Amino acid sequence: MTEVSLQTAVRASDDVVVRELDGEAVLLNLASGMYFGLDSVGTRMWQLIERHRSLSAVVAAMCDEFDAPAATIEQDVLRLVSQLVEKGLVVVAR
Amino acid sequence: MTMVRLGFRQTWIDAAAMELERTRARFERDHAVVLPDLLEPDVLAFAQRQVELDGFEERVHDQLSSRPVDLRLKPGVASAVFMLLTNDEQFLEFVRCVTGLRDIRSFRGVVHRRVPNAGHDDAWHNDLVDGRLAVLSINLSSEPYDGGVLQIRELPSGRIVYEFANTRPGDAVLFALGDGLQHRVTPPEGRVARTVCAGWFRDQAVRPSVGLADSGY
Repeated sequence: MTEVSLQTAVRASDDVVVRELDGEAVLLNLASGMYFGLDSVGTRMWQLIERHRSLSAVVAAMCDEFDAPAATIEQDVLRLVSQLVEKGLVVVAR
Repeated sequence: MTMVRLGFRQTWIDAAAMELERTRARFERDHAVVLPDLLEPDVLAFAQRQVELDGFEERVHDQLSSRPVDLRLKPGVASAVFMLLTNDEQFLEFVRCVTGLRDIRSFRGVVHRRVPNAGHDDAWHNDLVDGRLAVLSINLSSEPYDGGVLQIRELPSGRIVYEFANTRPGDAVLFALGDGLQHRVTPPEGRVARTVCAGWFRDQAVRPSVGLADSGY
């Protein structure tokens, strides 16, 4: 699993095509041919990642929107981003 | 002119209400409309490269009595790209507006190829199965081809009411299905194969399985 932290910033990979189908995002990696589906919460995380890039900003925005403990949201964001990095759907921004 | 573009990053629709109404009226009158440059150039170039990498296999249309044969793209990245781009909600809403078919919920298609002088023929049919409501055919050929004319005829008269050779790569034709309509594509001629992504807008939702992209079609 790729190590990411709140200090990490990421951006969508150049190889990813994203569309929302029935309100839930589907990501396609053009290089690997793999689909990756997100539920509604994951879709919101993806939108915030595209907007903010900074994971600390993503977590802050999620905490404003969702009634869940900050530690849980932080854990969920980091876990999702780690998976997205693993699958080549986001890259760590330099 | 109504401008619709399917891009990797987003769908662009630039149509004033009056122009959209003209497009809708043209569809109602002709049972079809052409969508020029539906694919952005980088999408078209990617698709043309990728279909050659994904490869084709022979397909027999068993549901038609003459059992015509053509080549169907194997499941892979090209099909997956079209599945995503054509199911963009903005694009689906555009198609609902033009066709008046508010039940449209998804598009499912397949890339297929007809090679001149290879026995790749078509027959009159209406496609009215599996919740199919309208057809979209996007030209992916590497260069303009000869033949391959879309024809629509009315029943019971058999009168051909629409003919169009969509020979320009990246252009698309959206056309109607109905009990009183049939369509076919005439055989390709010359030396250039006709390669299109063609499929149906349907009344059922579609969502790809997570994992390795198959065509979903």
